[in-house]
Amino acid sequence: MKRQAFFLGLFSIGGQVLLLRELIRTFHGNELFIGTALFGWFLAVALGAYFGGKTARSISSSLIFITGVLLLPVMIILTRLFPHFAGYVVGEYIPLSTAILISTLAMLPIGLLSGWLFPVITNRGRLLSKSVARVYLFEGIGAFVGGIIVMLVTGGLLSTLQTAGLLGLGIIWGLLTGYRTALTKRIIITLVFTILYAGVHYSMAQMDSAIEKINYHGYAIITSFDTHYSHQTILSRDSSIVLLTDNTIEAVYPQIESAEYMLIPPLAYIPDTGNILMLGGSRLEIAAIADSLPYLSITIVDPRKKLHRVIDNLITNSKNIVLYTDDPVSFITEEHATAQFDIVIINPGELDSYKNSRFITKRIISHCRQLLKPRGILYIPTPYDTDRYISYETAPILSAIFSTLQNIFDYVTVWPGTNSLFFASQSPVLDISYDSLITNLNMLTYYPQYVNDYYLGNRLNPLRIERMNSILHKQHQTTSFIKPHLLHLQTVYRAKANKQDTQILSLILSASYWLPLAVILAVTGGLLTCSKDRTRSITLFLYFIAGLVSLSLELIVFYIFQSTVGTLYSEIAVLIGAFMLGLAFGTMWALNHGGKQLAPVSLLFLLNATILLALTYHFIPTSVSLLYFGLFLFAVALATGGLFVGATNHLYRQNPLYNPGSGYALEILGSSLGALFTTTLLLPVIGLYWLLVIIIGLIITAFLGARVLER
Amino acid sequence: MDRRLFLRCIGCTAAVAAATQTELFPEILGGIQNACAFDSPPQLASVEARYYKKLDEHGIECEICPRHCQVTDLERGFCGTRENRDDTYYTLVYGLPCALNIDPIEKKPLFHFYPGTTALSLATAGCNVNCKFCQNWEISQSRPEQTNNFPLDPRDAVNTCVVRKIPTIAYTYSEPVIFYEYMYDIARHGQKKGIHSVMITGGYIEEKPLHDLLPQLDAVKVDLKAIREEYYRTIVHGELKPVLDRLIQIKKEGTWLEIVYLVVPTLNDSEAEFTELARWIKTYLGNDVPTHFSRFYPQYLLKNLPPTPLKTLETAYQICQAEGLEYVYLGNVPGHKAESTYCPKCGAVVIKRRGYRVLQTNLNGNRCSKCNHIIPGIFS
Repeated sequence: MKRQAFFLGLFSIGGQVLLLRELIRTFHGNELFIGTALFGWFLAVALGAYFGGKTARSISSSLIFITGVLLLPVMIILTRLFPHFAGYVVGEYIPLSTAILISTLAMLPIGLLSGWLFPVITNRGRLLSKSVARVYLFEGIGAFVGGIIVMLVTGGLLSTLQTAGLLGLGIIWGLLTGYRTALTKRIIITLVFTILYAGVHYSMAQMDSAIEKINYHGYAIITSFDTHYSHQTILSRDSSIVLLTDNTIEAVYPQIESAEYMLIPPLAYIPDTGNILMLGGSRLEIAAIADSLPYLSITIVDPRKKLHRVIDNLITNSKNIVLYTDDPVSFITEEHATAQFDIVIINPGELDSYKNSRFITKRIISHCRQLLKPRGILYIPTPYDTDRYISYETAPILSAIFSTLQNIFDYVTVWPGTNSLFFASQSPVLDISYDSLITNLNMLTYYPQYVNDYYLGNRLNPLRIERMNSILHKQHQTTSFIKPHLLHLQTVYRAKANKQDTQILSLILSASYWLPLAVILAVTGGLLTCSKDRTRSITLFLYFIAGLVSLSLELIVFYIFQSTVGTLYSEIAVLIGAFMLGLAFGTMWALNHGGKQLAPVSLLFLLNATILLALTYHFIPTSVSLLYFGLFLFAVALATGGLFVGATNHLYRQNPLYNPGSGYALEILGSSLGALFTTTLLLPVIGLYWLLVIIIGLIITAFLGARVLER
Repeated sequence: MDRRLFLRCIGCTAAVAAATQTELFPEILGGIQNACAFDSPPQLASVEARYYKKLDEHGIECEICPRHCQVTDLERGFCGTRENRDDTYYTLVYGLPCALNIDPIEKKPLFHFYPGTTALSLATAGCNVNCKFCQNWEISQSRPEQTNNFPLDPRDAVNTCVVRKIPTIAYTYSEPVIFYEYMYDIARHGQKKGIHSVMITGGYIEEKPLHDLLPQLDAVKVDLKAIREEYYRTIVHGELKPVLDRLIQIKKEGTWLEIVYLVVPTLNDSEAEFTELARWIKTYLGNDVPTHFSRFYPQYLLKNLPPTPLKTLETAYQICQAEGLEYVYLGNVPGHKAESTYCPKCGAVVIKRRGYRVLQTNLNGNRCSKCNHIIPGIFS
């Protein structure tokens, strides 16, 4: 039973994390879907556990395991091929509404089997209550171990599909080779599985390649691989090379226009530039012109050490490019903060993920200011088209970027055009005439093909400048790490491309929709609390809080981690694993040692951990972030496990005939609401501080309720 | 607290909340409210549209484009800019452009039409097709109440050109066919004041409205998006046949015509398609119709399709030249030889361009200054 529970944990974490990776990749790196995907996962686990409980004795766990490990790669392949099956053409954007639906559905089969396995394995124990706790514990241990394995191998060594293959064979091997299996038999099975794995490894690599060929038909696939940071695909067509990150174009070579707009415009203000720092993707593009400006020293910070020889060779050929392997945010916030640059370039790309939009926050902009020389310029090229008009949806994005820059710098100026370019400085270096700009450009050793008088006269004509200025000063809302609303403004902007998306967002963001819902929730909660059976009501409330708070904190940790470290792609496995382990130990400890005050003690522990997080998260160096947040989630889960057992003791001790699924169902409901709303909606609207304050408030309320119970 | 008291408290709280809080998320909601404002606010125009017929039953049938939308009361056609009100069809965008710029004529691109001059470019919201690669999707796929419009009477548009000495008005960005009445009236006033009019269109218009419009126009640039019907059906959401017919009509009726073909990687960039395109142009329009190949950049729904490689454009250029087209151009490739106009007889550069600038003109009227060969177009 213990062994099976361990493999359940392994299977569960593997399924969850690998599918999440695939969804992030398929939906262009957007992390908003983590919420809806986790919602789908919880829903499926709850359904699986319910049906599994009914059929626990009639289905063997091995059969479910085998079905699960075979289904996991199939689900990964289906998720990856979804755009092709759904009729999207190469490179077509998948609307938010479709992504929400698919992210929820994709998690269902594996989640269902994972939930199903729990009661089936539990039933193998002699004493139900004890076996539940044991399965929970070993599932947690399995999840933690699985999380570490997935983090270590996926990206660095294996692709997602290969990891799924390894995981599947590992689980089946583990199920076949018990303690009692003879050594010879064990060796033979291991040998067979090693050979099998070699086959699976090879065939999965072929499959990876075949899927890329389908998804990018018309292009030659140079290579396709996972890194700890993202999924990379390198394509070529008609002598051009395309680097895709999570199905989004990161760079094209040669693409002179993009390269020039990435590098040249700030040189028009300070042509005597020496040192340039470049953050964010684009190393491939500027390689096309860097050699022509030999007096520049360009430091590019990128967390991916090597991509592929085709790309790496192009970059190393440019002698004035220094590639520094680190996350850009870590780089500018830590030991390099004293370095002085003439120009800092932030290339955020589309602001459709926390990974990208985190660059344009007051915190990061402030750090960039510290890196600049007194006459230095911060330059942010954005992809927003303001050449012919500025739409209602683009205006708030540009205005928020402008306000954020203006908050930190004394001088900010914006070039309208097919891409809008932001410049900020502490000196009046930006206050120069158009003629001076052109004179400065003519002083460069490289003659720009696009950033020159032939084009700039049109781009910077008074009509366009006036239009841009008219929208920049309309709003004064800045975007920050605490209240990151750029991603959501971007979501509204992209939603315009699809009517369903517009309608869904309108519904979600409408006050008239939320107000009645809030009232209904309050009334329901109130009715429960005021019912005659107060013990039952409070206990159910504790279940709900256990689910809501723990999952909200988990997602907040994902957000903080992604915003500070920038590599949630693999580490999410360890974070979820640490949470699962904490949940298992908390439950185990509570079952064995829990006394009368279990619920209040757990809530007090949860409260302390949350307050500690609120007070310390911004002081944590990125080098220990994974440990810090892993321990925090472990602590949160420990308390949640204790709270769950505490609430269970109260509910079922006094009402032995009460519906056994109610507590669990309310916990799942809480988790689902947390998954759906915490970072998707509440974080950008009320901000991180208020979100934590509300969570602390909820914990205190639950604590008071638990104290009432204990009396 | 008993249950009754609790309910009373909740009721009061809800009432206070409803009274004080109308918008929970003002900064985000602002954008989405604009995007969702499907009801017609009063600032929209209501000028009776041309080219529609009343149906036997209730409703009208729009006859301006081949889509032939049948529109019931208070509904709009596919373009979102024409509304049936009690069986009278109205255009809602007359005099309400949402984009106004002064651009070089080369940006349209029109290379054989007063080179080196500027054009007052204007557009309203809406379009009668839905191209997945649309560069102007933020206005073309919007209804007029979803865009930032400003009133500009046809006379004012023309007067602006007169005062600012802008020789041409270009109806562009979105699809001018959907603001036909506005375009027609500006062009008519413009003619009286000596201001030229050029239409930058997808050519998805019916024969009669085009026939009536062409005398008011000085030039038409048609975006021929592909030479395959399937592409039009799946990527453009329109039809190829009517566009080809209108190209022939424009040529026949004598209005200056230039063609732009946007080369979209993997979707319309095969050598076979370039050859077919060149042959069709040569056969039905003549080899002297300027043909521009422009580069696709990731836009709108094709946000993650890489830009067109230069080599693909050069392939198109070579194929068209080999097929005998005399004026083939590549767009947005500054410094490339295919930016300039060459005399097909002596090979001399007659108009040298770089970017949006005309660097040199070697023309005597509309003749090559070297060999006197006639260069088609409107040059002076």
